[in-house]
Amino acid sequence: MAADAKLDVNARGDGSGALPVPARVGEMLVALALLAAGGFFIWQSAGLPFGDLHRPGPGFFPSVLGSALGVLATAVLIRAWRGAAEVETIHLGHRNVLAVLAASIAAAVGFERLGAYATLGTLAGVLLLVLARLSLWRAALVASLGMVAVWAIFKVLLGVQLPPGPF
Amino acid sequence: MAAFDQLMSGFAVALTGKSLLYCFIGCLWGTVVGVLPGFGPLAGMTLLLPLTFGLDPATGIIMLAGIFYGAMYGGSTTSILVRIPGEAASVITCIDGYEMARRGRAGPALMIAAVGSFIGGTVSVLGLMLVTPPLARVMVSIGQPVEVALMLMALGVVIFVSAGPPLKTAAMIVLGLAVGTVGLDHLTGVPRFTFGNLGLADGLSFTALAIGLFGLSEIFLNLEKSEAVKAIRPKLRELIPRSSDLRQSAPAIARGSIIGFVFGIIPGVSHVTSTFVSYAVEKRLSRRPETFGKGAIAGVAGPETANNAVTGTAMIPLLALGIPSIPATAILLSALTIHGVQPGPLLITQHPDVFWGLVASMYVGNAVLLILNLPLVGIFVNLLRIPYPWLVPAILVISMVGVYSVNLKAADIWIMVLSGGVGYLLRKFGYEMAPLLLALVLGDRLEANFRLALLMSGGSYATFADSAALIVIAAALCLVLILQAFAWTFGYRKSVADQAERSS
Repeated sequence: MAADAKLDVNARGDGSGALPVPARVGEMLVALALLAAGGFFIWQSAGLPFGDLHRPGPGFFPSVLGSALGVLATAVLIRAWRGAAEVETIHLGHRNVLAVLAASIAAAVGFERLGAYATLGTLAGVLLLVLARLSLWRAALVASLGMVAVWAIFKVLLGVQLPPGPF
Repeated sequence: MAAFDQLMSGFAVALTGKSLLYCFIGCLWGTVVGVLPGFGPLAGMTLLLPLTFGLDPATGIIMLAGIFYGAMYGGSTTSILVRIPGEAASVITCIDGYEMARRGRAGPALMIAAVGSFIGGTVSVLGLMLVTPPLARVMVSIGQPVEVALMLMALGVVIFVSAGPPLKTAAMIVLGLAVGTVGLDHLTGVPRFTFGNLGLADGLSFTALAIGLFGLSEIFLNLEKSEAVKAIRPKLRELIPRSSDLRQSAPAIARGSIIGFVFGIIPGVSHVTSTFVSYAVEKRLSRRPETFGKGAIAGVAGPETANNAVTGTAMIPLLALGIPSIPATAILLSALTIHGVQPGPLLITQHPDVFWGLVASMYVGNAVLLILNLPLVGIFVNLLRIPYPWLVPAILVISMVGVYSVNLKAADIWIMVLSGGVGYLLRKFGYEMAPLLLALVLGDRLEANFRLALLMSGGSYATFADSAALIVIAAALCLVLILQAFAWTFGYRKSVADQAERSS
């Protein structure tokens, strides 16, 4: 099916910077993370009233779910350890993915401190520069127009009050 | 007669200028996300979810439902013209739809897909309208044990019918339920996993999690692909099908309507399953099965009708029981809850404007989509030319503003970004996000009803096995299992569904 190319989540573009990670190792790491999440729920719910099997308290469900997650993660871990991964390698660290992730984190940091419009305008501009490869002035122009649209739709039309920041 | 009167009152809601505008916006955006590969109804709905918060519940839900069924329409366009399914339910249309397009018959394929979608969608709304009120009346009397059992059954079925490996799907369900426990315990008011942060008292923002897990992770996955899209471009005058096309399509559309409506009951991936079953049925019943795969119009008409006929059925469990059966209806549940409307047996009596307005808007929306999709097909195909990197900043900005606007908390943007990263990694390693989302939505009620049921029965687990609960669950489970067995018999395979799910 032609959709195959599109559906290949591991496709590696030229110069993408993505690194091949053995799928087995990756599977095990994800399983360990899930195991840790299960452990976290058990640990944190230890301080909550558990009740008993017939009158469960607030700690009952999280404890049971944490344990179940631990069991399932262990099963995935064992399966991966035995080498039952569906593919050999998974490519991680694609340049564009990292750029968007970094820009999104930066936007989350600056959203209230610098104000929504300044932060989101910068985010859009940077991504247009990095991903769309626009020239600086075109990226700035498009980002500015985008912010005007955001202001018109969210502030004027929908009445959403966004953080103005120091500007 | 009462139903007719109520439907008319629904039309009074759906035909106001505001409702029509948002129905149109929903249908248009749904078609766009259906056309764009890598998006789907889920990402489309989560991205526009925040826009509904300034609207009344009926208008908000009308817009979101429009996105849901609009995406089913749009998905067929790229399947036929580019051989890339715009969303998971259109994978099967690639086979004969694209073959028709290659042979210069893209127009009739698009026309029949649109007409079939319209008929399937309309039949489905009719079923929704007829089935939901009596079912809701029955379900008003069910107690917590039955509700718990129904929710567990739905989640259990998802494990087996989901495209991902059952072990990983189960892990996602448990993770979703566990994350759902963050916040104040509903029965005792004890804070759980809030670390003294009052902002977490209401739990983690569902909108932020949904947009992160689906929308943002989808962006990350799409950024890894770089494909030049070459679309076949039909002319408007070429849309008219031949009389032989109509003869072959009419029975396929009729069967697709029934198959889609019936298979919509299966939780999880009913929109995908129904298309595979419909295709297989058409091939088996065809006098010339050898033409399938070589541009048989029945291979387009049946599945495209079926995936739209699912939309109404998929809403029945949500509107009658308050239990979403597929991720798209989980988003609708979230939207309704945010507006203070609790879906469930009492929805129709307590919020008739929402229920009947939604039903009426679906009739209107299906007509809007039919009108929208045929003349504007050229414009929708042009969307495929927009470089993906241009779309990413726009989607991110809308998502961030939208997520912030729900609770006016910048912390929700953090949740969105982090869950996007986590969702991306999980999806890379074959974990499905849909079960996680369903569990996240159901978690609260599952726990509250479970504990209440035990409390009311004096701690006896036998309450979950009383006769009423057993009958309801056994009947529901049998129906789902029979349908799933039927789907497997007719060639629905997880491996194919896996591809389809990843494309949604």
